[in-house]
Amino acid sequence: MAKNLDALVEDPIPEGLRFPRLEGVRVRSGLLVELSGMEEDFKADRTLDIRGQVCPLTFVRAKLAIEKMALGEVLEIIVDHPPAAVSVPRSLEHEGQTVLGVERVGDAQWHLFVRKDRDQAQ
Amino acid sequence: MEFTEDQIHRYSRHILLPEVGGGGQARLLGARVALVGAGGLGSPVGYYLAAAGVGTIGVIDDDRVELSNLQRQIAHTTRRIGALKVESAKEAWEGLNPDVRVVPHAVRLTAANIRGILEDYDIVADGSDNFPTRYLVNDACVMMKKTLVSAAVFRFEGQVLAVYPGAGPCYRCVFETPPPAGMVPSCQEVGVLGVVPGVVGTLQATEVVKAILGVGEPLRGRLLIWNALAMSFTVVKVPRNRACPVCGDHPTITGLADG
Repeated sequence: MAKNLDALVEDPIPEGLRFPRLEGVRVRSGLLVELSGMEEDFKADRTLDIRGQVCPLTFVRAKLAIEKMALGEVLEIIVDHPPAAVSVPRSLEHEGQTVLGVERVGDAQWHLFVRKDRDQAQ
Repeated sequence: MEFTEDQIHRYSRHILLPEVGGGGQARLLGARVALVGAGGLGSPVGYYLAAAGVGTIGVIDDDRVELSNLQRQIAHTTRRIGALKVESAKEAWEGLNPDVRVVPHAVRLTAANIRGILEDYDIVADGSDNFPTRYLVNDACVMMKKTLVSAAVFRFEGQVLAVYPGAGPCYRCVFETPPPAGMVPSCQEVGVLGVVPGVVGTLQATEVVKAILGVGEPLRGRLLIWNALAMSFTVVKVPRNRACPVCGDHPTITGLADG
């Protein structure tokens, strides 16, 4: 069971850029680690393709996209900047959103599935 | 709101903050703040509000830029000596951020004109250099229920107080009457270390931005005093004065008057 994002992204991320843990992340196909109960599918309500973008703009754009969505909706974020695969879901969790899964496609492309559970905008 | 690509980049360090985000940045862009004075305090306040993307900044000052201003009034430049300070400040702040509209009011505030000017703004930052204006601005803000962030500097020291009319003390609760004319030298007459209005104006801008965002603890009922030589911050709790002539239970000042 992947309790830890380090398991998702091994080579491309230098040790210093890894974040310790991201609880509750479930992992789908294409990943190094599989999780039982994988049959659950995350249906994305919106997709944000920010390949080619680097941190922190990746998180800025993800956050702006989430702000525009309704509670309970799922955003799929496509990134190819390896640190973003770890730091974007971690930062979104920090803001109260729920990371449903991180799917790795190929060498350096990740699909992050995040459910909006908290409204930041007042 | 939909941000442009430039805005996403320009405000990214704001949007990253959970306390700001896109929603908070949109509030900043929609905010209307009046600055009383485009001098030592107004310069950093206007610069930081412009940088923050405060959408409308009104600036009220009838002075022109003088060489002796430039030791501390960083909105102005040597080349703009002789220009109206409000025009010089507009050039500086709109140059920093084209999202911002700076509205110049090249007048001296009086009992007759203050309401007409302040009614277009939500928050007032007072950086004036004289007591009659300071009290006039306080009284007008109390009567018009405008949030006021008042600041002043003197030699090596400065103070900041936020006034939320109806919810905490006003400037008169803390300093009931202006000192008699001639008793206290004004900043026009005495020295001030150039960085002092920089620090105090930046604190003042911080309170304005917090008020727009609705985050943190405002300097409401707390007078902040900063001393450069001691490098000390002192916070003095100040209560609302129920006998305050302007915001007390039975106000005796019910109209505006020039001091």
